[in-house]
Amino acid sequence: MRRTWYRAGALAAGIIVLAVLPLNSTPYTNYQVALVATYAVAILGLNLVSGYAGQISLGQSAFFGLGGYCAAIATARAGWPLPASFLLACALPAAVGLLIAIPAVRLRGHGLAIFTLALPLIGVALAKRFLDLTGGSEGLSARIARVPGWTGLDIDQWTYYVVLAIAGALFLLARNMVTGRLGRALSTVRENEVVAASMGISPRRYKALAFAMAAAYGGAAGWLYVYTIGFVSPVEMELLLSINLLAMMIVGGMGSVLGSLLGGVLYVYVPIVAGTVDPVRTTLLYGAILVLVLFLAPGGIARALHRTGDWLSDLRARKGPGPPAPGDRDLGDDWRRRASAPEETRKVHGATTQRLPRARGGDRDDGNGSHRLRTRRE
Amino acid sequence: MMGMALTACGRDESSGGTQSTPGISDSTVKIGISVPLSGPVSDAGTAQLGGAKAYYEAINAAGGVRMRDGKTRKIELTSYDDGYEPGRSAQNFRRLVQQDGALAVVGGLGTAQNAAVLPVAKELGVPQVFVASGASLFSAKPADNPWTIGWQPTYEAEGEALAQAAIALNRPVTVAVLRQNDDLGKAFLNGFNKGIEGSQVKLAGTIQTYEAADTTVDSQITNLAATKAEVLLSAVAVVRLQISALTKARELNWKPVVLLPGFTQGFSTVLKPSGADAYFDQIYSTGFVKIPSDPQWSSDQAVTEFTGRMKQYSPQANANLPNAVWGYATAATFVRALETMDGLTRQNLMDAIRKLKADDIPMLLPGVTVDASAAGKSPVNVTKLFKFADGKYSLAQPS
Amino acid sequence: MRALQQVIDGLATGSIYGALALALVLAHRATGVVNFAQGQMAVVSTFFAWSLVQSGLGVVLAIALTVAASLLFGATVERVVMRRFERESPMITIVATVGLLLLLNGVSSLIWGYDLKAFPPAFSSGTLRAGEAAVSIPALGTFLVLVAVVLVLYVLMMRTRLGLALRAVADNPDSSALSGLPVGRLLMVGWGLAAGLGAIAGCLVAPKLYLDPNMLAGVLVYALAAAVLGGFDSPLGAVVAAWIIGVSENLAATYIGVIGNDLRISVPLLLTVLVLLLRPQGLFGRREVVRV
Repeated sequence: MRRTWYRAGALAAGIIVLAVLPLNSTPYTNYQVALVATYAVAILGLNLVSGYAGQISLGQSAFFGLGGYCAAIATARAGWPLPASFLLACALPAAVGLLIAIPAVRLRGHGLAIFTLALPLIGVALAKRFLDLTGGSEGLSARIARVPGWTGLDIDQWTYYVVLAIAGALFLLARNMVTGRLGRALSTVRENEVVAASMGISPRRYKALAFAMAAAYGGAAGWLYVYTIGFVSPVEMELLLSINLLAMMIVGGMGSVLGSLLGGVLYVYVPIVAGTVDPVRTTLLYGAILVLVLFLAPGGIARALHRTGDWLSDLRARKGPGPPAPGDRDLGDDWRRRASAPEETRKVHGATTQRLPRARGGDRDDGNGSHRLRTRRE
Repeated sequence: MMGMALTACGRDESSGGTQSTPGISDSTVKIGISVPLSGPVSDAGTAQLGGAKAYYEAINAAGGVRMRDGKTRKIELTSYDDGYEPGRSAQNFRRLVQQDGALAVVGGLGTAQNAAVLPVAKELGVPQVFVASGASLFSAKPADNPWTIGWQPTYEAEGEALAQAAIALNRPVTVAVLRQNDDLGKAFLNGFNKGIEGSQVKLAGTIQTYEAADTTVDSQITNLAATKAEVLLSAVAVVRLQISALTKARELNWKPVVLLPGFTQGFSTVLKPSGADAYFDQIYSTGFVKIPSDPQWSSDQAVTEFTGRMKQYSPQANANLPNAVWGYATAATFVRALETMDGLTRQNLMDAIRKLKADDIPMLLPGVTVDASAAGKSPVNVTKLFKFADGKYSLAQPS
Repeated sequence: MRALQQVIDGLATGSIYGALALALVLAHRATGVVNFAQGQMAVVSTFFAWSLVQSGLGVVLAIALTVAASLLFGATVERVVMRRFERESPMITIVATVGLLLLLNGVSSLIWGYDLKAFPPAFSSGTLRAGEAAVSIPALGTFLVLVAVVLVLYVLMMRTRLGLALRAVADNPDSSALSGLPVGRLLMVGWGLAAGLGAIAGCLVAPKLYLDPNMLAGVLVYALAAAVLGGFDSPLGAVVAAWIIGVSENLAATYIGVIGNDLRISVPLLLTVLVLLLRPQGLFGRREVVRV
C-alpha cells in the first residue's frame, strides 16, 4: 500500500517538475528533453517486440526514419494538418511492419534478426533513391511546429509540451496494453510458444502484432523527432541507430516501461558525457556500458531500481529483506525467470550449471508451468 | 499570461559578451564548431577541428586578431561532437549560441548535418559560415539564407573542371561514369555534363552507382569496362572503393583516361595501392589547396608553417587529410573577416563576409582566391585541373 | 563476356562473405550463439597481424601467429564474457555479442585509428586471363583457401573425436556433461576455432578491402545472410550460400534495372526469406524437431 503512495507521489512530483521546466530553461535544454522523450518512445516500441515478445529487432531505425519522412513530406511538403501526418507516421510504419512480419515470424530466431538487420539498409537506399520526394542524402527541412498565439509560449516551449504530452500518452497506452491481456499473451508466447498455442494464443499472430506495434511506436517517435528538430535525412534510418536503441533498451531495462524512459535519457546523454571526456571513445563507452550492465544487472537499470525499492520497502516492513510481495512484481520480471527458450531449438551452450529453474524468492511458476524441452536433431 | 512572464527569466543568451555584441568582449572573440569526433568519419572531423585550432592558436600566440575598433582580441574556440548526426549538429548549434554565447559557428563538416543547422541559424540570426561541404545549397541563395555561407568549390565546379580534361583530348570520346548514389554524386555529374555541353564528349550508355558502405565496386567497373569507353569518370568519394575501382579496371585490361575527384586522388593513398600510377597513361584530378605531403611544396612557407603548427597545437589530428588543410584555411578566412568587420555585431560580421576578397589565404593554391562577393557562388570557387605524371601531380594546361 | 565476368566477380565477393560466414557457423555450431561480433573479432585479429608485419615479420608467419593468438582470444572471450550469458535468453546472448561488437570497435579505433591501412597479401598479385574474363590471383587464392577450410572443418567435425565432442556438447550439454565431457573447455575450443577462422578470413580479405575498424561491417550482413541461407549449421552450406549471394547480387544489379546498384542488399534478403519459407532449415541444414 505504502509503495503505491510513494510511487504516486514521485510521479506527481515528476510531472510538476516537467511542467515547469521549460519556462526557465534555454531552448537548447527544452529541445534536449523533447529528444529524450522522442527516443524513449522509439525504445518503448522496441521493448514491445523485443522485451515483451522476445523477438530481436534491429530494424527500429527504419520505422523511425519512415515516420520522420511521413511528418516531413505530408505536412511540410503536402500541407497536411499535423494530426493527420501523425496518424500517417504511426499507420504507415505499422502497415509496413505487419507486411514484413507476416513472412518474418515464420522464420526461426536468427532469420528474423537478420531480416530486421536488412531493413535499415534498404530504407536508406530507398530514401536516397526517391530523392525528389525525400530530398535525398541532403535531407529535408521540415519545421512543422507552430505555436498557437493564445498560449503566449515560445516555440521551443510549445514543442516541449506537445512532444511530452504525446509521449506521455503513448507511454500510458503501452503500459495499459502490457499490464492487460495483451501483455499476458505476449509473455506466454515468449516463454513457451507451444503452450501458448495450446491455450489458443497464436504465437505468429501475436508476434506479428507486437512487431507492428513496435513499428507504429517507431514511426510516432520519428514524427516527434521531426517536430522537434525540423529536419530528416537518411542518417535517421541508419543501422547504427537501431543498434544503439537496442543497447540503450537493455541498459535502461528490457521489458520495462520505466526502462524505456531511462534508455531515452541514456541515448541522448551518453555521447554528451563521452564528449566531455574524449569524444573518440564514445563507441567504446556505449559498448562498455552495455556489457557492464549485462554482467552486473541484466535487467537493466530499471530492474536495479525496482530491486532497490523492493529491498527498501521490505526493510521498512519486515526489518529484513524477503521475497517481493506479489502485487509489486513488474511484468518485466518474467523474462528473467525462464528456464529454457522454447521457440528455437536452442543450441544450449554450457551445462556447467544445472539447467533447472533457479529457486529464488518464491514464485517460479508462471502459471503455465515451464516445461523443459528436449530437443533432438533428426 | 504566465507563460509570457516566465519566458523572460533564465532564457537569455548567456555570457560571452554584452547583449548587443554577443560573443565579443573587449579581449575575446568566442566562436564554435560542430564536427564528427566519434564514429567512422571521426578522423576527418578531428582533422577539421585540428586544422582550425592550429590556426587560431597560432594567431593567439602572436597576440590575437587586430580588429578595426583598435582592440586586439584572442579567439576562443568551443567544439562539440555531433557524431555526424544532423539532429545533433542542430542541437550543438543551439548550445554553442545559447549556452556558450558564440559569435558565430565556423567551418562545420557535413552536408546533411549543416543542412539541418541552416534553418536554426536563420531562426536565431547567427552566422553559420564557411561550411566545409561541396554542396551548393549553402552559398546558392544568400537572400533566402542570409546567415549561411559555404567555403570550398562545389561538387559541380569540380565536375566541370574535370570535364575540361576530357574536352582537351580534342576528339569524340565516350565517358564511363561511376558515381556515388546521392546528391554528391549527382552534383558531380551535373557539373561534368555542364562542362561537356556542346563538345565532342558524350557519356557512355550506362551510369554506374555505388553506396558508400559497399564492399567493392568490381561489378560496376566490369559493367563500365564493357562499354569500352575511352574515359572513366570515377567520381568515388570513398578511398577504399576508389582503390577497388582502379584495381579492377587494371585487372580487366581496360585503360581509359582516368578522371578523379579531389578527395580520392592521393598518390600514396589511392594511386600506388591500386597500381594506377604505373598502369594508366593519363590521370587527371582537381585541387584548390596545397597538399602538405607533396614534395613541390616542401620549402613553401605557408606549408611549413602549417605543418609546424599542426604538430604543435593539434598533434592528435592527421595533418595529411584534406580536412586539416580545409580547417586551417577556413580559420584563416574567418580571421580575415574579423579583421575587416566594421562594428561588433553578428550582422556586421555577415556584412564583412559577404564583401570578403582575399588572395593570400594560406594553403590555397596560387591563383585560387577567396571572393565571397560573387553572389550565389562559394567563396572559394576556383578549382584547378591537375595531371598526374612522373609520380606527381602538376598543373595541367588545357589546350 | 560481361555476364561471365560478373559471375567470376560474384564468386570472388562471395568468397569474402563466405569466409566470415564460416566463422559465424562454427561459433554457432559449437556453442549455439549467433555472434554478431564475429566480424569485429576478425578485424581485431587482422590488426594484430598488421602490427606483426609492421614490426618486420613476414606475412605468412604473421598470419600463422595471429591465428594461434586468435584461438586464445576466442577461448578467452567465451570464458570471460559469453559464459556469463549462457543461461540467459537467446536475445540476451545476441545483445551481449552486440555489446562486444561496440566494445571491440571502440578498442580497435582507439589503438589503431580510423585511417585505412594496407595489408600485404599472402598471395602474389597478378591476374589470370581467359579470353575476356579475368580473375585476380588473390581472389582465386581466397576461393581455394575457403574450399580447403571447409574440407578441413568437415574432417574435423565428422571424423575426429574432438569434432564429435564439440557436436555432442552443442546438441545436448546435459548428457555430455553426464558422460564426462569437459563442457566448459569444449565451448572455449569452439569459440577459439571460430576466432581462428575469423582471423584467416580477415587476413585474406584485408589486402583488398583495406584495414580499418569498420572493414567487415558491410560484410557482416551478407555473411549472416549466407549463414542463415545455408542452414546455419553447415559450413559447406554457408560457403555455397555466400557464393550464390555474391553471384546473384551482381547479376541482379546488372540486369534487373529496378534493383540497380543501390538495392543490391535486397537480393540476399529476398533469397533468404524465400528459401527459408519453403525450406526452414536452410539449403543445407537439418530439420529440427522440438518435443515438448
